[in-house]
Amino acid sequence: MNWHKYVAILALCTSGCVFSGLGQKIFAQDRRGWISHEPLFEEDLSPPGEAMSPGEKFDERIPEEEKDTRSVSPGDFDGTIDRELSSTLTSGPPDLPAARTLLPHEQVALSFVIRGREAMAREEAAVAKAYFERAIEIAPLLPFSYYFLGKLAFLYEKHEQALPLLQKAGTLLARRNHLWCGEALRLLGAVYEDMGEYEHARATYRQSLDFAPANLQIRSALARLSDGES
Amino acid sequence: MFPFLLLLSAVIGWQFYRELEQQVVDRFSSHNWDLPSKIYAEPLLLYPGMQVKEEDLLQRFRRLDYRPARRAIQLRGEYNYDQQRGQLQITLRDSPLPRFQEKTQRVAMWLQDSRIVRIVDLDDGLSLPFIELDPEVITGVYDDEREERRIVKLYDVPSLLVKALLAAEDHRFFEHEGIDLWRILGAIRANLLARRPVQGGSTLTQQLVKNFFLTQEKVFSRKLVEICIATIVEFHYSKLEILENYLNEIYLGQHGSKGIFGMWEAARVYFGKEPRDLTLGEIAVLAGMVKSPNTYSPLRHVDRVIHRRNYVLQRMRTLGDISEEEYQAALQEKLVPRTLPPENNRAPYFTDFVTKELAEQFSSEALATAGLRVFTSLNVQLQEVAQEVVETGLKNLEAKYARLQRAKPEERIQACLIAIQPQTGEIRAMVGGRDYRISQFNRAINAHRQPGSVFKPVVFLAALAEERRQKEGRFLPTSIIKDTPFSWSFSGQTWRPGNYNNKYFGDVSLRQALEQSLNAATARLAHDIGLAPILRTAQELGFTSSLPEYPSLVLGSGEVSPYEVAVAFSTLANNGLRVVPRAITLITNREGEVLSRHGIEMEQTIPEEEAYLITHMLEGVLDRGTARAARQHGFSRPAAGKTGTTNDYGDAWFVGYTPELVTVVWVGFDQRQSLGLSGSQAALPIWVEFMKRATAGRPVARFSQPLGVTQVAIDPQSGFRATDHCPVVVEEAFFRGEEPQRLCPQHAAGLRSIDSLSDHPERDDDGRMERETAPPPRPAEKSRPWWRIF
Repeated sequence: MNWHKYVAILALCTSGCVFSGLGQKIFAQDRRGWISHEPLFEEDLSPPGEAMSPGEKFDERIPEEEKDTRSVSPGDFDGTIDRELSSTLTSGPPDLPAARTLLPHEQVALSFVIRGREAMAREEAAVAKAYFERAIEIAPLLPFSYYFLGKLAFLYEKHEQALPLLQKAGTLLARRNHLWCGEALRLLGAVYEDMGEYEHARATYRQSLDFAPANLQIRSALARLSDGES
Repeated sequence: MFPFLLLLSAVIGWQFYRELEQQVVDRFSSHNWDLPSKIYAEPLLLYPGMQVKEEDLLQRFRRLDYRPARRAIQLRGEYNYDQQRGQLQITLRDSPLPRFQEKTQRVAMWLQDSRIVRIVDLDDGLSLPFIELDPEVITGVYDDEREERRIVKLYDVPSLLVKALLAAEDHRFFEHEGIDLWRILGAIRANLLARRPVQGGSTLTQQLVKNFFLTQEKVFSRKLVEICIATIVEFHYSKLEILENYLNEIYLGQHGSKGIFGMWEAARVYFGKEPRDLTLGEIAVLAGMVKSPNTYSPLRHVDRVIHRRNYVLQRMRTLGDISEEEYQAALQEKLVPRTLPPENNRAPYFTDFVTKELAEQFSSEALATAGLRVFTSLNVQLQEVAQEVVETGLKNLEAKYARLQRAKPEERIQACLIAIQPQTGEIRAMVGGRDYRISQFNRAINAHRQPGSVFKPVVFLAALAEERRQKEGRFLPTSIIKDTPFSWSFSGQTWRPGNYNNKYFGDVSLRQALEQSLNAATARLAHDIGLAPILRTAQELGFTSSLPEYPSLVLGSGEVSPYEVAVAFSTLANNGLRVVPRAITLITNREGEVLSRHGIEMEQTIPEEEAYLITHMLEGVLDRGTARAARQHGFSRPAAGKTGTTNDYGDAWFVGYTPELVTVVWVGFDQRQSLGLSGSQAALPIWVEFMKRATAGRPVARFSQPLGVTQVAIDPQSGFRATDHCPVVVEEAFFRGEEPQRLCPQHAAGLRSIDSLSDHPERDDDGRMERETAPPPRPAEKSRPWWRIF
């Protein structure tokens, strides 16, 4: 049997398959549903322009450097930092407490707070937020997680979110660290001030002065508000 | 005629081939493996200073399918515990969870008196602040096929595994073009000689095509189509691509009801390892299984498996893939069937809850095939404790009160429990009923029952926020109300709430009324402030059910779910910050890329001073009130709570919280029959047992007192500042500036000084809290006349 007869027989058989619908039947039994071109998800969750195209193979579409499993989805704090505001806050907070003064689980949480603070300095807001939230999950009574999460919210002008976080930080700090408590209340006052709620701001600044009487930032803020009043 | 027919057939055949080629290329290229989505529990964090029992830790390793090693640990997923030295060595696996910690593989951990003393990275000798174990899989979301598969890249597969596979199945794989004529002829010859099918002629490409595209039907036409597709695949794709697909596609037996597909999953199930960690003997076993996975399953037929393994090793040696020494060493490897960790879902009600939430975002098909990784807040240890205490608690009740026993399983007394971390809203444990196999109804979420006295704190909270009608200032915990028979006319009807056993106490403070759960006093208080503020406060706390606007609401006649109760009391525990409860914390796709992160969402709905005052009053419920049995049963941590019993004794509740955990327990019959028991009799024992075990080993924490609150020692009888002559002194919390100034007139002989800052340190465990000088006392915002204080 030479090759063209083999091709002819193969063609006859296969065309018969087509006519009898056998091929369709075989494919129709495909249990994995690859025929279907329905999207994988009900709604396309991939970022615009990154949907998988039919021609793409396996995972080649994702460059290795982008396969960062620690990536964090953008959170609530998208946008740019108010740099002027940021620069006024940097000189404020005292040093974080030494880890040995904290409970074991708080030490772990503090290490997350420190990483979050570093991420915040790099303007990686979503990463910072994830670190602070993880710190709260680990040690829900550690005040510094709330303080920095509140500060992050403030820097991104999410005042409504910043208020309860800073208030919570102040409450938790009142019996632990008065300098930090003063700082949390000072920032709370700054949030009120930024919102235009000057009465609240003044009262909160005054309250913060009880805890950190030597804090010049608080005094200057109070003076500023008094000037505005006059 | 013949040339015409030939031409026609050739045209039709060509058309068929083109269509086939298009379909094959389309599907092969756009191929997505069907992977079940997995629901994970919270990962376990281990750190120096943490209290953990050795047996609990080892049990956790077993559940995570870590293998005990007798020698020094080398491979991922191995651990070694030296009990004498208290040293535990572990080689961590790659976690599916996007980790916060740096990559650490081999660690050593020292344990002393059930406490982790130190953790060290064995590779660089540095101390580690913590390690995070991979989270446990609670369950998978499968389609009807129930295929279990993990995708492996070719570069992650040891070359020996590829060689073994080729030696066993298709050693000319890199030489043929999809069809091996020599192999087909050899198979025909062998089958003719044996007069039965003993050898197949399919290449790896044909096997892949058969699994990918075709049915298992043994007909000539399918074989022809298979050959056509195999040549198309070989023409369009490289050998390495085909091989990688084969390694992921191949069926390799059963694990319970689930089919095992691909080499990664097979290596994990049969040997507890990743493919890169397999020994030569194990590789040969897996390669040998391809021929008949269930016949050569290492879980069952060890003799057969060894015979087949030795054959594969022999083929490898013959082909020059391994040396004689390697061959001999592999032959000596012992094959011990593994005991697989149990497959049972330990949190069925919780996973139902999560799946329902996922269904709002993903189709059921996507969930069963997209390989999503859903990370949840469930704490496996707390969940196990919760299930155990619910089961034991109900059995104890049935044993103690025979009238509660029922013959039919579906009519037996039920209970549910839900535990939430108030600061994050994370659901830590959820038991929706007594036995999921009998009833899948999740009572923790879907049961709407009357809360009874559990609702009373809402009334007292509303009262603290309201000015009194007689302009006497707002209510305080020391404010006096009358606990006497009382009637409330409403819409032409009269409601007469009575106390338990019809006992009335006359003038009582708000605190006493709440601690002792006095109905008449509560109703009188509610009457004084009105229903509207109470309904508003209920909403602010987190109750979402539609509550009826009639007087009996104030004693808990509106139906709510245990979940709502948990949310509402979380708001109290969290200084008035209402959080959105979370079961799902993170969802990633199969590659580990984050699809959605469910962060903490909170809102200040109740002023923190008012929330604290209620918490402080509810602490008295456990210390002196209707739940004092909790203290008698040995639960001594700072905690607040409230019992609840409905009029007909149909529902028994207890909700209680420490600063870090809120837990609600409900007990009752689905048929709403009477229990004849109060909340403190039926629900409290379950709560106590759960909380004792849930908080064991955790540092003792106190509720955080807001800056706007101050504590003063008072005489509870008079409500004035206590003197040294007062027989009973209690500390009462007041809004700062509204604390009593006058001394107790009944025992006046000097002021008892209370420095709440020094008397009540935040922690009493090891005194390592930071201490600084106390701030100067703040003057009261404005002085109030004494009559406005009480």
